[in-house]
Amino acid sequence: MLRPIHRLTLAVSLFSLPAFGAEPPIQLGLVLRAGYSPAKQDNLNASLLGLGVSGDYALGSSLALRGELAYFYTPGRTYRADLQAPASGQTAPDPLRSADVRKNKLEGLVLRFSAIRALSSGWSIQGGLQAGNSRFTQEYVGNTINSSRSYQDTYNGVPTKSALSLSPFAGLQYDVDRDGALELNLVGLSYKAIDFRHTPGALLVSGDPAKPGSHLVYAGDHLEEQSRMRLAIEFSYRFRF
Amino acid sequence: MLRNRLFPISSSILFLLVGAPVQAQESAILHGVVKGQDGQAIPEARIALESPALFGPRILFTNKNGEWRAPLLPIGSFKVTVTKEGFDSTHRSDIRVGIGSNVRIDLTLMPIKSAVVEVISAHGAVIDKTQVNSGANFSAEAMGELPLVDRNFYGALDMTAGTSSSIDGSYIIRGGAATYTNFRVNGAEVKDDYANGLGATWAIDDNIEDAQVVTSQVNVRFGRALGGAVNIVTKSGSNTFEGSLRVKLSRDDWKARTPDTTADAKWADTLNREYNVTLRGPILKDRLWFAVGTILKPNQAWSNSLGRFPDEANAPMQTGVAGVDALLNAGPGNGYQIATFDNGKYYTETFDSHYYEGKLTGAVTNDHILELSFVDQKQVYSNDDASGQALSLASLGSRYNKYQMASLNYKGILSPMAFLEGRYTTSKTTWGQDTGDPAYGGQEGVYVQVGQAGAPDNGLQGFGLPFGFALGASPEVHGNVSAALNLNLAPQAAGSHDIDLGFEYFDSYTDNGEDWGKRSLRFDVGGAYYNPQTRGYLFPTVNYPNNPSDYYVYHSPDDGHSYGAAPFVRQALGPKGRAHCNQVGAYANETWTINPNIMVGAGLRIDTNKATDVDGRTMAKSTDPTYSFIFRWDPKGDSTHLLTFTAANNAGNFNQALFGQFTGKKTTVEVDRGWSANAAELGAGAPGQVVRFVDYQTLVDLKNYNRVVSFVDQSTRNVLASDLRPPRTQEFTLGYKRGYADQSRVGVTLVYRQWLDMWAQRWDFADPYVITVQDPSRSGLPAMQDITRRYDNSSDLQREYKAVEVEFVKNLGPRWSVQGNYTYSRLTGNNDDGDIAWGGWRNNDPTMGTIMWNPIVLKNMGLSPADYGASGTLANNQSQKARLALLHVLPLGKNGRMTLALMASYDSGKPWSARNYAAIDQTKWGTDLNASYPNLGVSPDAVYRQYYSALGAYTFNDTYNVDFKATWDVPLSFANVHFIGDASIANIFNVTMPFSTYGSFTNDSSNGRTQLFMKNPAYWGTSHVTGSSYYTAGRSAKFSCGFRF
Repeated sequence: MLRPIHRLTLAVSLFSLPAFGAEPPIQLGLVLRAGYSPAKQDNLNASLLGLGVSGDYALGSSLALRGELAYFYTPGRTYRADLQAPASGQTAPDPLRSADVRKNKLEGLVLRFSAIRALSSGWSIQGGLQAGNSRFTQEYVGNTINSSRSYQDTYNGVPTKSALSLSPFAGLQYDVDRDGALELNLVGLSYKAIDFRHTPGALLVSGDPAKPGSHLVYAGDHLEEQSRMRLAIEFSYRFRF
Repeated sequence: MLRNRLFPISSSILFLLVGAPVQAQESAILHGVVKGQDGQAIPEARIALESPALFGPRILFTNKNGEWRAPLLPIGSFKVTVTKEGFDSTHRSDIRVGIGSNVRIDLTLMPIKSAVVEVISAHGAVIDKTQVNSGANFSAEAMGELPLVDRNFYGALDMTAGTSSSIDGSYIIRGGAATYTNFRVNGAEVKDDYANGLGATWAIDDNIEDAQVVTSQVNVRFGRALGGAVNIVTKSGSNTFEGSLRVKLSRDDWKARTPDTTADAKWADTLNREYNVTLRGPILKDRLWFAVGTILKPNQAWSNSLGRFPDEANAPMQTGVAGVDALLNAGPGNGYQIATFDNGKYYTETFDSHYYEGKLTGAVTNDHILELSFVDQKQVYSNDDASGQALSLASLGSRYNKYQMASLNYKGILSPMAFLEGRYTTSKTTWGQDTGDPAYGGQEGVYVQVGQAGAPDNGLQGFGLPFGFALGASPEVHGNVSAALNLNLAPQAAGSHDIDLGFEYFDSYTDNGEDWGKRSLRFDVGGAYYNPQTRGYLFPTVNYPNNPSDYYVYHSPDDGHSYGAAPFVRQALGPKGRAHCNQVGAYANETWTINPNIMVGAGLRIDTNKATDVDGRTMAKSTDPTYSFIFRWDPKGDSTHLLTFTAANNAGNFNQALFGQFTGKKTTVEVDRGWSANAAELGAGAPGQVVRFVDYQTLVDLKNYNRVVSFVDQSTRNVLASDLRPPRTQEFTLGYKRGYADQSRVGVTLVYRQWLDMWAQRWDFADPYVITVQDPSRSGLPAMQDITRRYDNSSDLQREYKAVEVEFVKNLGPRWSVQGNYTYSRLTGNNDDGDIAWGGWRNNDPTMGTIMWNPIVLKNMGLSPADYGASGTLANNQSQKARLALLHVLPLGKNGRMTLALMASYDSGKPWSARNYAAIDQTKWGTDLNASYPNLGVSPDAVYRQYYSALGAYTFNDTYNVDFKATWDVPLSFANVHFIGDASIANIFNVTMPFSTYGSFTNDSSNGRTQLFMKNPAYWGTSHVTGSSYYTAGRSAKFSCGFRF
């Protein structure tokens, strides 16, 4: 029976790039990832998908460093946003004739760096940082009108916000066999969220509502930015090449 | 050995690396290398292949390099045994090959008396490096045990990376239009090329041996695949009798409630049943086998009612001439009353169907195999209102849909290095319509308006066909015929070669049958009077006015209704016959395995495509090349790591879905005539001379209609460019596949595909688009102006597919396995459908139907295609798709098993972009187009619109599903009978999502301002949403059980 430390060494070194010559010290792999993030913040869905290409470099007998180029995607559900308070002097929107429908998503292309230390019987612990570009997208489509029809606002857009994000993660790895490993990580996903704000009945700043295709901008329209940290549980399987 | 028995479950999904270079879609290859313990190749070793699917063992010998190769194998499981004097014999069992599989089995022989009797190359038979097409294979077991959409074409498609369901519910492959996805059963194309769909079942689930999805066809042997292909091979017989009996059960009240379900909704508690029976076995042992199957369904019946007219339907007729109106509304008298026929009466409609399939497999010798298969299916709707507008119970009748397929295949081994295949197939869809009340003999159609004939289109009329439907006195037939011959050579020279030489013929045809009865006439009359005593009908008539707008005698030939008292007839004068789109292709394909590490391949195919109209006239003809290249690097030479690059230019073909718009049929030339048999005209003469009540025979006498109103001649309307050719694709892929010793595997493929030479439809209010058309009936009608639609290959149309496709299988032990796929893709461009069949500019007004491009006037106004067809994500773009299935196998008894499968599916929402359009400023036209073309029937200002597509790209809701399926196969204690069955629950968490949230920009009539319209804004987000098909499907359950032996 191999000791854990030897198992890790086996995983990291014996199967390192077997296809491309004589046993290089780097073990390549493909990671498929699914996750769960229960927070309802930003109306992102609870699920998370991802994939990545990784390289492991053995440092001694029980420690390895890993670098990974990864893509992750957190879809959102369509939701109906609350209508804002009307502009001064205007009555509130008629809820039966007004709606503001939105959908958010978060995706990113990141580099993940981690250290892995072998425990026992194929188990390892790992921890590291994920750094890269996260992109938050909000689709919004709104139509607000009050019962007296003193205003009727139509607005829509798909703004995005890219930001450099740094997210820590830590978890466990279990070597299913020499060809692959299961991983369970807890990751604090950082990103910048945006939220479009519109005041019903505000003054039209630009655009012509009578002209089709004209993009309408109202006084006070803006994007609110918030820095977020979202906790997610990741389940991964790593195919070792 | 449990492991060996169980692993085929998951490993039965094989990922094709990029199709067998020499394989027919309905056969497979086994090959490999035999070496000694010292690694030296062993020539002249004897290889014996055995399988229940073979009439006898296939014997061959290794060459000087120790290589062996066995093409043209039937689909199934094999045992490979190698013997050589001086060595212990060795074998490998349970080798599963699917359609197009090209499985490598390397064997090592040990000297006699060696302690080791069998050594198999560590990574052999996992993935094969000589495959060239990419896609996935699904064995019968995999199809049965995974909780797929179905156990047939769509289940395989849904479980393959690079596919997605299109907005109309069909599946597309790598962004290709559904028109270009080919569906084959035993080599026969079963997709209706005209209706652009499968239409029916083409293989019983329990009779399917293997299914293959080809996402990229690199081998030029098969053409016509700008999308991809799905191939199914059904089970053949064997020397053993086998079969199955299965009942499938479902029930509406097993479905969960969704937000669409109203509080008082009650589910039907009818148990839906379907019985599947299959039987296979020998007719002559070792010589002739059979396989047959049938689907039995209890007859279904449901209640329907005829159309119900509004109460106001008895309101008086009006023409605007007081005396005439009085006479019309007084009726003919003598006991005649306004006829309401069987207004609103209920009736019971029934549905019956039969389905048979069969296959005969015979061995002329062990090296020459013939195979004949067929499908015959008919669906009959009895007491049916085929027109949807029946007004009388007597006019109800029967209609049917018939689907037939036959395939004859030959596979011959001419020598150890030469193999010959031949194929002839045909499939046919027949739509038979009922012709209405038999008393009227299907001679003509008669539309009767019941009720008020006054103000046009005021919603107070009832229309229908009380006498003859005459939809089609003869059935409509679509089908195809194909033939192919392929010679495969495998010479050895500086490596090994696989060379395919052959030709393929494919012809799809459409026969539109008759329209409007045997006489091709459709009459419209503004009412009917009925005498219950004599049971006779009389119909009011006035002459069709020379100036119809002066009276309330409004006729609308285009929507098929007569609103006035003047009868009217449309005569269809177009040709009758069979239109063809055929393709004749010749090809050469070479795959050269230079050494164990490098394989290169190239292919060239030349197709001649031709479209022929019903009168034999050639509509379009082109010669189109397809060429492909593949390079594969296997750094270790053992197929465990494969890096593959492919490049291909695939030509499409002319197909019926495209040409159905242009080919002739009865209704492509029509002349409209008005009633002229009365003594005096409206507004002139005494009312008694103006109005006449006539019987049926007089009403349908063409001699009484001498006032020609208008005509249309489609044969002059569509103009195809003289050099028109089919669209084509260019595709580049770069893939990496990794196979493991436990038969796990993972693959990543980068794909870039673009469509070229897509078709643009252009028409304009300018020369040469506006033409003068002569009266096709030669009835003296003045010539008319018409706008031609001109079609050509346009570089202005763009469509691109870019993707990362990941597929994997992981065997987690003898009982557990995981498999799935993930696709990240982008489908972009400005052509939403990838062809012109039903295509349109991206985000164009969907009601406009086809691509419209008014090149002259718009160009003169300084507008470019970007103004009316902006580029962006296309309607079928699905950026993310993932499938993950977890399988657990429980052994039951000696040879039994139960499989529990859980599958999670994720599909990102399809895009939608806020769109809007506006009439183009007429002052920029330069000339007054409305005035220039006054007789076209359509105003330029109603046609020219500028589209605004760039208002944002949104996505409909993503969908999530978790499905569960339990499948069992339990041996019973007598006669090798197994108890089989499955129970499945789709969407077990009942995740129901609104999938259509956004509407479109519209004008608010109250203030003229543009506003964004959203569907049901008042109800959105509440628990109950009115309207149908608003939410994704809720939880549902299915169950089946039976026996196999």
